[in-house]
Amino acid sequence: MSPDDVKREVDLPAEPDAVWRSVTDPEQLGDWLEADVELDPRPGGTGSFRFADGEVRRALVRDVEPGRRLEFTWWPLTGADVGQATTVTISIEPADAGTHLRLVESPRARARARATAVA
Amino acid sequence: MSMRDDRVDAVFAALADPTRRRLLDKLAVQPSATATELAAAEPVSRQAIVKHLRSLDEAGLVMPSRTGREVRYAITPEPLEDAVGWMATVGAQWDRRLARLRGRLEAGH
Repeated sequence: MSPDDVKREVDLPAEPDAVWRSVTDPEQLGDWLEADVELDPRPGGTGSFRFADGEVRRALVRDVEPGRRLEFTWWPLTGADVGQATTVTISIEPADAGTHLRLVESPRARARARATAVA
Repeated sequence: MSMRDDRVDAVFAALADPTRRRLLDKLAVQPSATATELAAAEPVSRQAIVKHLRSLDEAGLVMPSRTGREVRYAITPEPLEDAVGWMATVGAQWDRRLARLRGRLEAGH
């Protein structure tokens, strides 16, 4: 966790299984991201995101704990930040009224990639 | 957004140190200062302050200017605004996306 990460936490009114499908099924994910999504939600899997505003991103899945955590690095192929990779981690866990979702987007993709290579 | 993430890395690495954050706090309330002036109220040597100022300069957070034998440092706020701007933009995107996800789940999709 670093000070420049974007972090969001929400409680969602659905079972963890349903939330997990919303996060990993390309069609469902595309619905709430408002993008055409292709995604192979397995470690090493690739993805592409074509947003309504014209932005196109490529993604590489870094880590998956089925039903609990999805981590991918993505980078835009268009726009002012072209090629600037960030890492998104979405974690879900059961909560009283449904599911607690935690999202972190970190601009330190490169630092983390280096750390992973060393480890 | 004009930010490059290696630049943001340099900014946050520079800000990770409490002495450097204090130096920026001081430079934020005065037009400029020398390393000697900045070292006066710090428990570390002038050489250490010079080193910290070099890190801040490399991150683009301060700008040195030489007048005769004297080097004065002034704050340059843009890199920090870049990083904060990235967080605001990306945070707002996720707020909208997560609101749509909630809406879908509430509707039973």
